[in-house]
Parts: sequence; C-alpha cells; structure tokens
Amino acid sequence: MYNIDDYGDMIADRQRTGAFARALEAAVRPGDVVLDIGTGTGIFPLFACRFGASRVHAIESAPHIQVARETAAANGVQERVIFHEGSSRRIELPERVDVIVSDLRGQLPMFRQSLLAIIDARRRFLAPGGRIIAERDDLWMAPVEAPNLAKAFRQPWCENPWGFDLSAGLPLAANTVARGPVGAQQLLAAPMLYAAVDYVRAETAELQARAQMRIERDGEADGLATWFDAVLFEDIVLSNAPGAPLSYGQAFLRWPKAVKVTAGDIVEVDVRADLVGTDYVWSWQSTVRRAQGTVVESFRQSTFLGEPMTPSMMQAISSRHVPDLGEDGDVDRLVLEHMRGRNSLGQIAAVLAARYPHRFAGEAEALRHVAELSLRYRRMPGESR
Amino acid sequence: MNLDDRAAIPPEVLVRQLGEETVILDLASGTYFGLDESGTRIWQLLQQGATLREVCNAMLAEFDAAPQDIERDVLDLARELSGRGLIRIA
Repeated sequence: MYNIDDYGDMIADRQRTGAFARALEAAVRPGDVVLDIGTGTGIFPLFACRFGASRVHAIESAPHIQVARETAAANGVQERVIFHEGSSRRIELPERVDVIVSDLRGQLPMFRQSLLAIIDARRRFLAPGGRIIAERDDLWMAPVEAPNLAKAFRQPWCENPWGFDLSAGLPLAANTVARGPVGAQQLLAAPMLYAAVDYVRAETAELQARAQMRIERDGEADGLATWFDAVLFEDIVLSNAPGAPLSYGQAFLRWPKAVKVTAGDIVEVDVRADLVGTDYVWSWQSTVRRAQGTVVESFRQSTFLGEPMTPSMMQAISSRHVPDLGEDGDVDRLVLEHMRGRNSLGQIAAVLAARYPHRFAGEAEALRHVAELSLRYRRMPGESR
Repeated sequence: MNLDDRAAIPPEVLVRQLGEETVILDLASGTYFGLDESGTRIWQLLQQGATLREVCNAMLAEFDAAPQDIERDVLDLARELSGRGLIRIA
C-alpha cells in the first residue's frame, strides 16, 4: 500500500509525528501495554517504550514490518516490542492493552478498512479504562474555489487541443475524490463541522451527514474541500485544515462544472461514505441555492459512478449472475489445490507448465506465477491451522 | 402490489447504466443487482414516476411480447426489487 518514501514522508512530517509523540507521552503510563495498529516502519512503538510502556504489540500487514523489527532492535527495545504480521482483525493478542494507537487515515478517517480495524481492536483488546489515540476525528467541509484542481480533471475531457470529443471520460473524472492541497484563501464559506468519528464509542464504520454552508464572497465554486481535526488525546489536536502543513492533504469532492456563487448563497451537501467490500463508496449530493431559495445547481455524485467499468464487469458483480470460472481461475485453483504442505513450488510449477503449455513458456514462468500465489496465500507466522 | 402503484428509489440506492445494461448498488447491504435490457427499461420508467400499468403499456409498445407476459415480467421484477429494498412501492 505505502512505499518506503511514503513512510519516510510520514515520519518526516514533524507536525504529525510530533503530535502523536505528545499524545503517547500523555497517554502511556509506566508499565502499560500498548497496541499499535498499522505500525508501518515502527516509530510509534519506540515512542511508547520511551514513555514507559512495558510491552508494545505492533501489527502490520505490509512487509515493511521487517524494517520495524530492525528499527526496534537498533533502538534496544526488541524485547519489549512484539510484532504481529497480518491484518489486526485476524490476529489474537495474548493480553488486553492499556493504550491503542493508530494512524490509519487517508485524507479522511474513512479509508479502506481502517475504521473496522479500530472498532474491532477496541472491542477485543482494550482493557477497561484503556485509552485510544486518536480519540475522535472532527470532519469539516467548505465550498472552495480551486481552479487549478478543477482544470486538471476537466480540461483533458472538455477542452483538449486535438479536436476530438473526449467527453466520455468526464463522468469518471468528476465522480472521483481527489487529494488537495487546498489553501485557506480558497474557501468560499466558513467551514462547517458536519460529522465526528468517535473512536471511543463508534460502532459503525459508515458516515452519513448533512452540511449547510453560507457563501461569504462572490466566486466560482469548483467543489468541496473536506478535512479532519484529529483529537489525538485530551487537548492534543492534529489538524489537516486548508493551509496546514501536513502530509495527508485535504479531500476534494469535485463538482462536474464550476458554479458562480455570490455572497449569501447557500450550499447544501448530503454526504455519505459506505464501506463496500474493502473500500468506501463516497456519495455527495450538492445543491446551490440563492438566498431567496432558487436552486442554481444541483449535482448527485458518487465514486460508484467514477469507477472504470465494462458491461461484463457489471454482470460479474450482480447478485443474479451465475458465474463460470475462466481459465485464470482454473490455473489458480490448480495451484492452490497443490498447496497442502506436501509439494514444493517447483513441483507445483512443473504440474502447471505441463497442464497449461499455452499459458506458460516453461517451468520458470509457471514458477513465477506459483510464487506470487504462495506469497499472497501463505500461512502467516502465528496463524493457526 | 398492484398496477396502479408507483416506485420510489431510496437514497441509498445508486444506479449505473452502461449501454443497455444497468447495475444497481445498494449501499445499505453493499451488494450489486444487475438488470438486462428490458429490466433497464422498466427501471427507467419506474424512475420517471410511471405507474406499473404505465410501465406495462410502454413496454408493450417497445417490445415484441404478449401483454400478459409483459405484465408478469414487470410485476415479478417490481416485487424482486421491492423485496431487496431497491425500490419502495407507493
């Protein structure tokens, strides 16, 4: 998911890392057991140990966990940090923890299965009276004038210099949630606090909210910026507001076209984020009204409409569809059926190459495919049979 | 359910049409439901506010099928969509 440069950027972000360090210092008491979900290259366990944790359970599904192990050893805390490779929702801990820390956000806390992971960890692992970092994310929104962000997604499909009609790409581009940055001077209305994610109590990973904002100056609105203020612990807040020098960037909910607005106009937004499979579908319905009530524009958008999709893909995901396994499936099924703890990858590759000579130029090519599947489906350390 | 009923589409239902086919995403359950060409046309008519009777009449004019078959297909689909929470009959 992240590469080493991404992890480097997160660590180098002094505002972010410094805020989490302060939160850990305030939350961790001598002798505490701490859980870090999504430890990455493992900097939070170091802070937790520095501030008195007797033990830290550090969970990470990415292979960068090896960097975290080496980092723990380099800092002399390898005996206090226990690493767990895999998804937190499939891992069992031998004990309850006093503090859970995680930073699984994207531009917003609704990011892949992060909320599910935190809710699950709180229920299964947090001791009574335990603390969570972050405690809460407040979500803010404002209409913005962002001609550069808007031009970047509209121009290729609407104003290309080659004389072709490329407008078929616009609906996909317009239904995509983009990443800022957005500056404070680009806001057209005072930001509105439209939702909060309470990690101490949250029982659902979904978001459904309404925002109503009054335009404060004339301009051209290109969409909506939304960001978080993360209350990490007590009064320690990490804000991703426009202009904040944080590495997350604000989310930009695009509008398909710019809307001329005047001071006093009202922008109403119904926004929801629904976890479908492993990621969120974001939907935002925006209405711009004049002060006296006349509707100027109304857009109904969703990332569901922004996903590249073909008719055969549509059929393949429908609940009424009767599927028929293709040859890719047959190939993988053959490989997986041979992964029962008896055959080496080389032996499986030989079977595969012999069965599908038109797919694999030889055993070496078959072996590369078998190795990929072995990596994806291997039993993780500590995973029970 | 009768032929004078109309359908409303709940806000948690999203629809995407490609060519003559449609896929419906129910955000409440996170599941997808596909419609073929005739199902897509029925959905369009329901979305425009037609009664089931008006849907049947329009389908009769557009598709080469017997009236009783069209009425059965329209009612069957409306019942299935309603049962899955993809439309609300009113």
